[in-house]
Amino acid sequence: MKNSTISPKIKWSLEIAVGIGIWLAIWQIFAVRENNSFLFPDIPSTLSALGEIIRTGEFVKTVSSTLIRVLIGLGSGIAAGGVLAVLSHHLSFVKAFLAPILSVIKATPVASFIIILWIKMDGGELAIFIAFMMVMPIIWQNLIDGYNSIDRSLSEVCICYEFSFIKRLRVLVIPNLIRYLIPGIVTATGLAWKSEIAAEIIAYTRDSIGQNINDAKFNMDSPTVFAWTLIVIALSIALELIAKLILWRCKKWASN
Amino acid sequence: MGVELKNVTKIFDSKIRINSLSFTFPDKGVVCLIGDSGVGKTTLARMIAGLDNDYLGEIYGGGIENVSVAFQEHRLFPTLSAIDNVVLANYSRKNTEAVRDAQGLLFRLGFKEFELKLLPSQLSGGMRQRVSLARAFLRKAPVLILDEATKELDYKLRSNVLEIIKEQSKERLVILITHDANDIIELSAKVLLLTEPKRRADDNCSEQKFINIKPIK
Repeated sequence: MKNSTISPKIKWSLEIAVGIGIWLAIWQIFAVRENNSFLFPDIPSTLSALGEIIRTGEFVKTVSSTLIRVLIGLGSGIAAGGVLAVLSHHLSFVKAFLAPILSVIKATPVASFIIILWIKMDGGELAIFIAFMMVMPIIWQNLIDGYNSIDRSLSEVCICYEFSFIKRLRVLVIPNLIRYLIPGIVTATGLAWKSEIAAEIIAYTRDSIGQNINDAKFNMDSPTVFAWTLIVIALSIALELIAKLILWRCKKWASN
Repeated sequence: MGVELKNVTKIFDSKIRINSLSFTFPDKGVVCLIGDSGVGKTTLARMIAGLDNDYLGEIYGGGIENVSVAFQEHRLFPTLSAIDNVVLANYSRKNTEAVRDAQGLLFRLGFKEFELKLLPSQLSGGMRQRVSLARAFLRKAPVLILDEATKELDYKLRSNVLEIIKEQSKERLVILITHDANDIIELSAKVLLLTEPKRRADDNCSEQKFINIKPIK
C-alpha cells in the first residue's frame, strides 16, 4: 500500500476546513428548516448583512473603537496580572492578600459587575475595566501555576553552574512561564471580547460593536446581529493569533 | 586544594545516614564513591557540592564555586539544544573557544554534527547523559563530581568517558559515584566505601574505608 504524502500540517488544515464546512452546512440546514430570518438567519442573509456593515463608513470607526478598548483592557489585564504574579511569587503575603479577591472576581458573573459599575463609569471606561477584570485573574493564576511548575532540579542546576539572574530567567523561568501564559492569553482574549461586548451592549457604549448589536436587536434585524457576531469572532481569532505569535517570538528570544 | 571532611554527620528522615565521617580527598586524581543504594553517596556528593548544607561537621574545599556536577538524572534545559546546554551552562554563546571545546567534547562523546542542534526531547537517554557529562567536564572548577557517569553507556562510549575522566583528573579532583567495579579498575581510582552506620551504642563512626585498587593487567 502506498503511504500518504500529505504533510501533517496540510492534513490538519484540511480537517479544519472540512469541520468548518460541516458546521456551516448544519447552520444552513437549520436556517432553511426554520424559514424565519428573524429567529435564525441563513448564511446568505448573514453574509449580505455583513457586506452592508462593511460598506458603511462607520464600520472602521466602530470596529477600531471596540478593538482599542479590548486591547487596552487585555493589555492592562496582562500587565497587571503579570506584575501581581511576580510579586505573589516572591512575597507570600501578596499572594495571600490577592488569592481570595481574585477567586471572587473569577466566580462573579460579568453582568453583575457591569450593572454594579455602570453607575460609576461611562460606557467606554466600563467596557475597558470589565475586560481588565476578566483578564487579570486568569493571567495571574496561569503565571502562578507556571512559577509553581518550574523544575526544582533545573533550578538546582542554575545554582550549581552559578547562572546570572538574566540567564536563569532566559533558560528556565521565561520558557516555563510562556508555556502557561499561552493558554492563559488564549482564554483571556476570548473573555476580553465577550465581556467587552457584553459591557457595550448593557451600557450602550457609543460608536461600539455592542451598540450596533443592540440597535440591530431592537430593529429585530437578526442577520445583522449574526454578522456583527461573525466580525467579533474573526477579530478575536486574529488577536489570539497575534498574541500567540508574540509569545512564540519571546520564547524563541529566550532560547537564543 | 583538595576536599576535606571533618566529622561530617547527616541526619535524614530522623535517621543517621552519615555518621561522623572524616576524610581528606587528594587535590587531583579520581576517587570513587561506592556503597549500597541509599547509603548516602549522592547525599555526600550534594553536601560537597554545596547543594545540601543541612549537616553537622565541616567540609572544606567544596561549595558551589569550587565544584562542577553531573547529576544522575541528566537535568538538561528542555528549550536549549544539546550544544547550548553544554555551552550556556558555563559561558555565553559568543564565547567561540567554549563553543569549540563543547563541540570537541560532544564529538568525543559520540555526537554527530547534526545531533548538536537537537533538543533534549529528541535525544536518547544515553545521549542526554553524555550532554550532562560534557556540561560538567567543560566547567572549570577544582572538583568534578560525576554521579553514575557510565551507567547508560555502551562499551565504546564508556571507554571515551573514562578517557576524559582520566585526562581531567590530571588537573583536578574527580569524585565518581559508581556501582561498577570496572570503572574503579580502569581508572586506577582510590575508593571511598560508604556503608550503613553501625548500630552499636558505643560506635560513633560509620564504617568508611579508604583503599587503593591497583589496575588488573
